[in-house]
Amino acid sequence: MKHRRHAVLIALVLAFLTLLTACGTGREEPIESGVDGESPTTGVSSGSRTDLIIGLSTDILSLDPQAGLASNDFNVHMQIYGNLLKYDENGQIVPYLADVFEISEDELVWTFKIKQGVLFSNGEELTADDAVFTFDRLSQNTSFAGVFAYIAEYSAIDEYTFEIRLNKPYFILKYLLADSKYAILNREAVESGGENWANDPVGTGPYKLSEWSTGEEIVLVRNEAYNLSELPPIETIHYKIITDANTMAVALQSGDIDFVGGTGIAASLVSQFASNPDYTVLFSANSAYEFLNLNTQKAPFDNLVVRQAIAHAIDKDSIILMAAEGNGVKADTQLADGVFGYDSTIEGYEYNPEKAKELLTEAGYADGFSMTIYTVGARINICEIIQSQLAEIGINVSCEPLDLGAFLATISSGDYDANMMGLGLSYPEGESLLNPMFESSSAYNWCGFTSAEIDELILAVQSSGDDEYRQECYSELLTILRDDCPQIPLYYSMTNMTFDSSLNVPYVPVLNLYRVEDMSWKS
Amino acid sequence: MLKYIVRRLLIMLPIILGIIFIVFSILEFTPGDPVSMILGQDATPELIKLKREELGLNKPFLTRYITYVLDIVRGDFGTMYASGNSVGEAIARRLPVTLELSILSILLAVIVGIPLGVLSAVKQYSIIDIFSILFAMILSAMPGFWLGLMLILIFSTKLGLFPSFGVGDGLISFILPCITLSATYTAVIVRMTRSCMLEVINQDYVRTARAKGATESHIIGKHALRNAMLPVLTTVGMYFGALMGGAVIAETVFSLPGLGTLLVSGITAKDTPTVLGCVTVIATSISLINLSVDVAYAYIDPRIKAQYASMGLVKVKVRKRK
Repeated sequence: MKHRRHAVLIALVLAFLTLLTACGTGREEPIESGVDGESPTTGVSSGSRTDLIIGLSTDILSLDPQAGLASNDFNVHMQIYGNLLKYDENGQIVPYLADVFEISEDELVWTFKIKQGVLFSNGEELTADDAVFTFDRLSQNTSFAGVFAYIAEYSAIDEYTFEIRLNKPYFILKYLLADSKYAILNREAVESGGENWANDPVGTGPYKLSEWSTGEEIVLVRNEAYNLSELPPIETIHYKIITDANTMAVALQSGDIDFVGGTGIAASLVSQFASNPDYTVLFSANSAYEFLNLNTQKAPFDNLVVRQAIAHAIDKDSIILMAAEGNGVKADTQLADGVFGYDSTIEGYEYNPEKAKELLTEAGYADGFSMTIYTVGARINICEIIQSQLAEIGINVSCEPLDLGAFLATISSGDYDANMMGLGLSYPEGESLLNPMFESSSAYNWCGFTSAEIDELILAVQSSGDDEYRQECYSELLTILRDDCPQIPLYYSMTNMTFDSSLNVPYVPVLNLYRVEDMSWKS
Repeated sequence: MLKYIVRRLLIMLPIILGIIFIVFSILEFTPGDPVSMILGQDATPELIKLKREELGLNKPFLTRYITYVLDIVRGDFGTMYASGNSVGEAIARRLPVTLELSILSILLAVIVGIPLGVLSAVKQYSIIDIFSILFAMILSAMPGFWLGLMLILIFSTKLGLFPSFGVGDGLISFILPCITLSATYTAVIVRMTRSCMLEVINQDYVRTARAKGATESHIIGKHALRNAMLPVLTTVGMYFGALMGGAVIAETVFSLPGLGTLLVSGITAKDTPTVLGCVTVIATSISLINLSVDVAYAYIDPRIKAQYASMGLVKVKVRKRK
């Protein structure tokens, strides 16, 4: 009797489990494991594939390009919308929706001749009025108030000519116009769509929205009305949202996704793909910069010799090896190769602990001192390495990780010794980093360093269109920053694009902002 | 019974209000400014001030608290600071996922744990008993994050049986996350059921029933189990709360669009409407589940029903002997 009871129980449990697995098989294609190093296929030959599955590390905030905050937002917006200017495959700014782009002699009038016959995905033709509408909308958004302080007025001179009048020269604008936040919107679509117009976004880009299941997936399909160039080979893009870095790597390994862009696969996991011929990893190291800031307003860091001593005590190569698994490029100055303004002739402080100790003694701190370094998130690893390196010269460091909000609040109060952080570039020019980090009134000036000379130089690079002159200014800026040493540049972290080798990705895009229209499956 | 339920619901209101006040205070008085994070590198003091006005963050603490509570009562959870997206909509989309995850996890734990616990109590010190205890210990020692990734590696990558992320495949998508989440709770149920059963089996009335000639399965199934279930039911209420919160881990590892991840991202961004919305919904769910558990007690255990009756909250029919 007892046995029968137990048998029934066991049978029930087994039945329940079988029921769960049988309920819809879920997988349409057989998944082959990628563990043996074999290329995961979907059973369909790569040549006939017309879809691309991209892993996205966070969901996007909105399909309104002006609400974009993070690189994942920009990546998606770029496929749907178009701008007056764009980056070409070499990272140069070229006209895109505009045929011709001119800046007047006095450098204050920017004229764009818009291509004729360009259609939005709703069939409406692109005209200068759409550019005016876009700028109207931008000007009402407080996030762009800083840029609009430079703009005196803008208007449509005729149906296809759009003009911006500045009140002082501001060449950074050309990068901003290529930024997805400044994408041209269609007046018709936004006005008639009301508050939720972004649920059915209308753009001039090669793709348009098919479906957005928040938190799960964004599906884009080819915009058949796209006439700026040939229709792209990839017809459907599935952006799958995978929030955990490990799961993202597993998904790529098992073929559930084909491509990971943005910052790419996490540094600790990328080596398995780099050594596997079925995957291609494209590294770039000029968009994310890590540094150590010293509070020049607080003793003993107000003493140049102390700052230089600390600079000599830091071994950047070890940091790159231990914290970033070798995925980083040592930074001698604030700028990296590939960022305009980079000057390879300017040298940083070489790692020399003896010299560091000498300098400390010279400054009167032969017995060292204590300090706290604030940082955010995973950077605590880097901080701990710095902690042990500074311990060698007698400086007792305590590392304190904070979340971003608390970090910003603490630093803005001025009550800190040092902080270790990273910043990304919004455009491939030095001003993108140097302005927020060193301009006297910037909220992101986290070293308390104010210098009229620096402010002037920053102004100069913003208002000059002469590349040679700008490079001179940057070289001067970097030299001052090296000599005064308010910040110790550590390294540029390597971001990567990792993808199935059957996918043809013709170039490494600037700032990891890829265009799916240029990709195709190899046959 | 209705009177009891209504009274419990009324008590829930001040509790939820209190929770909102506490969380609101915590958000207000911990360092971190949502506006700086939204404006990022372009922030200047003037822009920050403008943005704060735009979002209504320059108004005093109590004004904002009262406005917020009044909005919630009307069902308006507000909009997120960074994107302007509706918090209510986001919660409505994500709550079913977290609820499904939590409820399925509890079900799984109960279905696996109770039979195992009963078996090991009935066959104390046998192989089954030892195996169950071992099983329970191992399960409770496994960290959820690790277990989730291991399951993905084995069942998703190597065997290809289950999806590694997302809710796209329906019920199948919930299997691995449920196993991950229910691990600790299964262990608790096994041990609790086992010890409760052991206690009950050695009671006098069980001996009496045996002496009267009742079959073993009748004794276990009808008498013993019913008594042992009470403590287990208590834990359902407790663990539901833990699961709603702990769902964050499973949701992150398996990329499930649930309430847990929404809450965490709201906290990181110091987005008050999001955090308060999520906390209100989670607190309400937990209170309602606990209420259901208390009501269920009355039906399982006549003694508890009598207790409620003596408080005047439940009408009990007494059959008069003719």
